[in-house]
Amino acid sequence: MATVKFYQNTSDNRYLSKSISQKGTDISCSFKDDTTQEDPVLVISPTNYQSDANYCYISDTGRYYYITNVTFSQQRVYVHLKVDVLMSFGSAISGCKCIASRSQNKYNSYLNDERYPALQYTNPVLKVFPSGFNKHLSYILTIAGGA
Amino acid sequence: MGISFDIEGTSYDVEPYRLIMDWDDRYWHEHEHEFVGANVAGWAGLGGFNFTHLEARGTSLDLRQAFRSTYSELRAAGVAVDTRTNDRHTMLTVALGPDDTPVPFDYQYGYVYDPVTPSKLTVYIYGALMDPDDVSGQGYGIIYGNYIIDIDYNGDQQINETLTAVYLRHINNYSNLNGTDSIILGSFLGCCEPEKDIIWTWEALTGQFIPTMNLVFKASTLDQWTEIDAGLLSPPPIYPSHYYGNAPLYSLPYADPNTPIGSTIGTPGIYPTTGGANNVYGAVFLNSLYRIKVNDTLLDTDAPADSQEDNTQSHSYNDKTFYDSSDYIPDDGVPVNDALDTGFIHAYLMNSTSATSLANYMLTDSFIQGVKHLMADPIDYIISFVMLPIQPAVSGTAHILIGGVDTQISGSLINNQFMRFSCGKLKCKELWQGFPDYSPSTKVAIFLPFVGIRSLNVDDVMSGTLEVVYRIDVLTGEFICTITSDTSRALNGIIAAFNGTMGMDIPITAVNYQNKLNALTSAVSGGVSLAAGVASGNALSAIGGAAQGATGMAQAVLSKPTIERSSSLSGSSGVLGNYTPYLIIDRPVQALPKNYNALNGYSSEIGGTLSDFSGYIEVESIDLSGIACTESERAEIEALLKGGVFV
Repeated sequence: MATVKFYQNTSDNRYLSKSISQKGTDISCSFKDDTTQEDPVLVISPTNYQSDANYCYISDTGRYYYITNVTFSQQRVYVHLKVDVLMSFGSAISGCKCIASRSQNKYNSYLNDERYPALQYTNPVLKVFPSGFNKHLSYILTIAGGA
Repeated sequence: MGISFDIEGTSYDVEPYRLIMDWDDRYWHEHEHEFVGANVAGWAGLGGFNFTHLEARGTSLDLRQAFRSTYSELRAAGVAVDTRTNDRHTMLTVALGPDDTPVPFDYQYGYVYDPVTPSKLTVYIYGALMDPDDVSGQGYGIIYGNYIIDIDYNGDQQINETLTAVYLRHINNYSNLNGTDSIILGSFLGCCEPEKDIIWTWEALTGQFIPTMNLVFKASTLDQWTEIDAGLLSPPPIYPSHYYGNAPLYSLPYADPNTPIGSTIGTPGIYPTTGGANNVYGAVFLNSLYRIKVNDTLLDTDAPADSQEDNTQSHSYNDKTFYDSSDYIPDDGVPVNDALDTGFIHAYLMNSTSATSLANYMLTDSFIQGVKHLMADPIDYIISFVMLPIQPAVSGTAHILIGGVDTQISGSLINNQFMRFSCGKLKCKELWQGFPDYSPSTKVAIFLPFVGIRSLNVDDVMSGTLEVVYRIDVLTGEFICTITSDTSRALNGIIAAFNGTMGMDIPITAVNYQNKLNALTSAVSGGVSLAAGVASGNALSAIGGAAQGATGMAQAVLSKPTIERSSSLSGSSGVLGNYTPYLIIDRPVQALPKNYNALNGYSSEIGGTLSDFSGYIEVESIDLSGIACTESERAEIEALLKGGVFV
């Protein structure tokens, strides 16, 4: 038997920390035979089933799971899960040393960015120097010999 | 780190930073016999600079024009260049006060440090007080370069003009801070965001001394302010105003403002600069070429291993002093002597009236019979007769002598065969404040009179001030056109040089004219062959890219064909062209959608722990040690992080 909290998750799966709200109370349920820790299937009674839940936490595994599918068979509800590694290990992950290739808040705008979108046309501008040559030409005569 | 000096038993380590003093009409210096370089050096030491290269360029005006010499002085002025990050900043300090009365801004000192990389700090002063007795009555905008601010100042009024504005490059605007009783210290953390300002503000400095000040520095964006402890300042000032802080007491022989660049002033050597109570010392390294090297031995130059800011510093140099700094190549002007000095030839500047008179005279019998026949033909005495778009320097008028015959026609005697002509300076500014301003995204070309349009290396010119200079042989019209750029990337030197011929030979005989026609025919045929090959690059790729709409910037640019915009405009054809140079800056047009940064982020290459980041992040590499998960979970975590997550 395992104790499960069911949640409704409204966050994109790519968030390290999910925005979740619990649905119902903690319930006890069993794992279906031949399931894995990362993709378990819970077997619960229909009365414990929270139809608006899409997320859960199993204290026995210490992991958060996405609910990927729900099937019904013989008065049992089978809840198919997929581990959310980001939420489950978010705290530990946050402390890991890393190098960011892209970042929203820490970036160097002088690094080349191949994804940076640009239109196909360019915008040429002309900037003139302050002074130029004189259109009134000078006549310069060079003579051999002494003056 | 850096270069090591051993001077009289004391070792100095210096970083390959350079400080270049650009003196022009907006800078003044003269304080008794104090060489301004010492001031700069002192301030450099004060601010925690470690410059290995300090140069003075140009000429300085008499400080008395702007400040009363009895008590006022311009402490230092210059342009600081961080050769590593290519940033270039003006450094200005002033210490003014009637009868040595301390003025608020004498407190603009203190050693500040770069919390990230000690000894990597460049400090420049934006704030300044104007002299109340400015005899010029004009006031001066003393922020120079990128930081020009003009001050409206009416002669006799007591000046309480404090520059509290600072140019924030990344928002392309000036920011006013804290009213009139504040001063702004501008600083640049050399290993931090290149080309972006990090501003330190020092508040409420009106006549008071603050033992410990909290400087506030801002990095990159306006909403990210971090306080750091700037360190303990010196005890309350006891010196006259201009000796506070690290103002050097050592005097070097005054340098004549007109001393040519490259001259040696003073005795090469290293001179300590003694500061005030702050006990921060610098040293002036003086050698020829006005180069002064500075060192501050009090700062901890050993940065912690992990304290280096990301991606702005190379870690691969074995000898930074060789690879990371360059020798200054000055514009050394035109030759000092020329053919006119020999007396074998003479050159005259004429107007059209005198030229017509001469033409008529040369057809008269008196001319032809009077010419001493050293030449087969009297016309051979005329070496050249050209029209040039410049006015060479002359020294009086004289009758034109041809073959010993006085034509009684006057012309102005030309002094020098060679002359230098500057078309002025032009700033090439960034638009996007980032990589799109550089190659290959942006392309820069320049139109040069009598040369045509030539491509320039964007990295040489962007964020720099360009100057186009022609060195001209006025007897023939031949020239060399040089383009200099003051970006530290371009090392403040010549980035391109083109030769050509300006003006036009005036045919004075039929044979002479036929030669001109032959030359012209040759030029045209050359132009045709040039035109046949004007387009290069992958035009098909460009068309395909257009069909896809907005595309990656690099792809958009690289798919563009390179089009030559002109052929050679030298010689006679150049006379018919434009006479003023201009830049052609071909910039990309970004198509940045809303939320781009929030959903994609920008290129980072910054390290830290994941918690150091916020919002969207894509991880290039990560150490997932210490996570109690299965191997497949670890692999999934890594894959997710590399694909992009929100933290």
